[in-house]
Amino acid sequence: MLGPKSHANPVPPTLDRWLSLAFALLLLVSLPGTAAAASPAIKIGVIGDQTFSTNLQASYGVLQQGVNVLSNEDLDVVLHVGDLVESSLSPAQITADFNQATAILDQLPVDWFLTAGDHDVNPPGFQQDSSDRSREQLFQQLYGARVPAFAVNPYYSFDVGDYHFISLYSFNALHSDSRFGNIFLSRIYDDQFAFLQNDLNAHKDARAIIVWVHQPLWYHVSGWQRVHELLAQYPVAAVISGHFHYNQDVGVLDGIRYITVGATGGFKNKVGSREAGSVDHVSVVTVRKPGDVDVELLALDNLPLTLTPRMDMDRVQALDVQFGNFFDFAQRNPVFLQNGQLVKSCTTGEPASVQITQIGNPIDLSLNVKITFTTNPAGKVVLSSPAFTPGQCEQVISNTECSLKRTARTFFSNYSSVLIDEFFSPPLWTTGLAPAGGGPQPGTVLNFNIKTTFTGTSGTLFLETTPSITVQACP
Amino acid sequence: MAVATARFSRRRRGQWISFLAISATGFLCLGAFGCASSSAAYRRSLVVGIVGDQTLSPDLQASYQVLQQGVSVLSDLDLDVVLHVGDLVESGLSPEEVRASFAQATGILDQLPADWFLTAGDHDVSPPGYSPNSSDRSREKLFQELYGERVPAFRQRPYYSFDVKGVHFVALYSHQALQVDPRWGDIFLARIADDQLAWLREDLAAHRRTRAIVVFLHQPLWYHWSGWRRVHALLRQYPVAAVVAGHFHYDQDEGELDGIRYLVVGATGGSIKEGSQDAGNLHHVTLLRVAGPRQVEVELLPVHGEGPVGLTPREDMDRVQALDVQLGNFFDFSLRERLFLKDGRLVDTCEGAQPPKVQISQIGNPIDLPLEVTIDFRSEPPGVALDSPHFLPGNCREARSGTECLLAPAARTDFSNYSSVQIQGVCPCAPGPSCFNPDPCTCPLPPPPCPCALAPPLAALLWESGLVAAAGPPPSGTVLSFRVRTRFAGASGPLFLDKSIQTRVCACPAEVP
Repeated sequence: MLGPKSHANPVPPTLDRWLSLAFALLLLVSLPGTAAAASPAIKIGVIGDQTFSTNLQASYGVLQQGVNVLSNEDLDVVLHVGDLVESSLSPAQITADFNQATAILDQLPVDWFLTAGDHDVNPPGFQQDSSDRSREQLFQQLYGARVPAFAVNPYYSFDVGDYHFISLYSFNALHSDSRFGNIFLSRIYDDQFAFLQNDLNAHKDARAIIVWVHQPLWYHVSGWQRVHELLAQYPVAAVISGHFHYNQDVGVLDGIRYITVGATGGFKNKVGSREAGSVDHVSVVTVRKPGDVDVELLALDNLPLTLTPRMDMDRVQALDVQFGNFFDFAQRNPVFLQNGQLVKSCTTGEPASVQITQIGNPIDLSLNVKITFTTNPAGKVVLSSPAFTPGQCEQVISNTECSLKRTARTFFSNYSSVLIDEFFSPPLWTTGLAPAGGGPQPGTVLNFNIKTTFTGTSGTLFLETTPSITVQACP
Repeated sequence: MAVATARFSRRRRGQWISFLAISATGFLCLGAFGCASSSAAYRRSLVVGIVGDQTLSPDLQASYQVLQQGVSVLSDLDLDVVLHVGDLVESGLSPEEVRASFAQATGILDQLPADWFLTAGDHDVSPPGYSPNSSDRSREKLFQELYGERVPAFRQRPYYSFDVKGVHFVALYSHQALQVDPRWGDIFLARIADDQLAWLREDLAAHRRTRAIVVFLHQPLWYHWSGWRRVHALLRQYPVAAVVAGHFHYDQDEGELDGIRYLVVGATGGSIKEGSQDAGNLHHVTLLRVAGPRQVEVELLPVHGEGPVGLTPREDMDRVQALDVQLGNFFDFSLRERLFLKDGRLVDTCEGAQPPKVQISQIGNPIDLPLEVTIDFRSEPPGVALDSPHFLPGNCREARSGTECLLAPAARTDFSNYSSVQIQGVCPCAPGPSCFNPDPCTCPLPPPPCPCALAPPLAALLWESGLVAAAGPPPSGTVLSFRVRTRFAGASGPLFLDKSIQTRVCACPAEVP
């Protein structure tokens, strides 16, 4: 029925022909593969964050890998989602880092464009809505040398062929975030909104519009709502963000595909399964028209990687926030060496024990918790009578592994904060410690790897953390 | 004035969009799909009345009186059907009391000239006590039994559907996990589970040819968006015109998403906020006119008879909610701010006998717009006055008087959202031992504040004032009321929220007669 040229020929206006055309259109809609072959498309490379790593040089090494991978793709343009430098450093250092990173990006065989991230523009020190805009000015000056409009306002737009690109700016208020702190500050303010209105209106005939922004501002729904409502009135195909250092698929709303890409060298705040955000990647986004967008993740470990749905990543984020509660694990569980024995206190000589209280189940699915103990140097200490406290687990699998029923031990939990009930619940797990293999020395490190695993909508995901205790000498 | 203008233009825009939608459908109608069923859709909108929550008020009987008023307002209208968004009874009471309340409330609703249907709320089904994801489903069973006598399907499962004049209605159930909420506690539990989703999928497929579908449920589960997303993705494949929820006890407009109008209706007798009418200080019922998807009109009808009034956009209500959460931090004000009568003098403690002061540290600016803070003082009976009230330097963008100040966005705030607000230096932990009715004269003094990892050791004061006897010694028991008003100019106009906090003059032991 659908001949190779039928949709390209003018159709005489008879009822039969109209109906044929209607069928042809239906086929086009129902066979995206067929349509894709015939439709023009733009292929966009996307690079994620570099920052918040302990070693910016290592991050730029990963950036270089990402640039190499993207250079082998047949791209039309590359977008960087921001966080290229560490703005808390000195202006001289920022300038040097900027030059180094952009030199890597300049190796790309196509033009690249950037939207500024928090680490590009925030002043040193944390103050919400800070009035110190010195780093923002510096970054505008640096990147403005490449994109002159950016020197005037850190939001801008440009065309690539029939496609229009809009770089939105997440930091009308500095040191703001759509999940942490005062979320209300994390939004597009009126001046930028007016720019967006004018810009969209001037490019309403584009084949498709692609918007990118550092922070997924839509996490503050009521702040983003008017932006979404505006975008929905134009042929916007995709909104792309970074910032989270993990990828997620937010799905399609009003025909607009929302995605977040993971880090390209930035701190991997997630230690766990690759789908839970522990892998560096770049992305290729192919846009044919609104409603017809493909996203391909290119992991830098060369293994397959797909977007994880937001539902699972919000759960992973809650697990990650929970792990943050281990910040004072060593202070809570001091271990001293006294006459070859491990003790809790040098004055009482009470045998050392370690308690894990900070773990509950902050999500809505069964959570498997597995504790693996190692020492550094290896084999110097072994666990003595490890056990989960009776009544805490849904199922005890071994003395170091159990499953927790949903919301167990949890006061509240969301993707911003988790409060585990450490006040009314007993410790989840307790163990004694015994010397082994020649015995520990002061400075021997006791590692408690805690792995939490759940089966989400996209499969099995796990996240782990390894709080540690250093054996101390008695005075 | 600004409010009225904003609302007028919103409604105008809505009408314009409706007109476009009709035109678009009309065009299709001229094409391949035939006209009869489409044009029938525009004969007349279905007129739906909506009743909000009754619960969490100190007096359920008073709530039912407001329900009666709401029913009277709706009874004057030519309605096709009425929806109740849940929270009809207090399930924390005894089964006998629940039964009696249910009989009383449904007796009022049965006066409606149209059929009415209900989706169950947390106060209808949660067991007594608080245990998230509770396995005690006794109250849920009781409520299924009670309402199941009217809607038999409800007895099998607390979600069901029905048709009214070609429009399909789906009552979803928000409490598959009991004692959960999409804003508080473990939000991940506040969602439609697989079994209900499977039922919904079948129900929608079976009614895909209806002219419109209206979904109602108690909690705005979409606040936990990643949990709601698959429900939304399903709904948008069908002619769903609106999703309506209650639970918040304030109205808000969430606009349209994929052609579906999302909205929250306020309370009809349940506890409401203190503040401006637009900030949730309103008992109302709602009128929803549904012609089809993208053709929905909403009017709020205050139970006291005036109106109609428009909905407040979610953008502003999330801000109001942050202000409300902040004002909730005054829960222990009377214990923190004590004053005593000793030998005819007002003193801070009976031992120290210094002149008393009142201090406010719990207020910052948790939103993104300048916030006006006003403190009004009243002594009942008169006899105590403020002495040199002032805001402490460095806090206000503009200190307009000793009792009025303008705070810059985010001032004094560590974090804030629509669930929790932490003001710098204010310990979020209860000072305990808690007194449910904190009486400064009988509650023991709280121990030192619990340790706060994030807060500096001392609370940073916003405002303080001395307290003096205006004439002679005030009688012990004199109640000192402070009305703290926070006000901002939002997207929909100026909105304010109030909190009246109180302490009272206590007698020192020697003074007790």
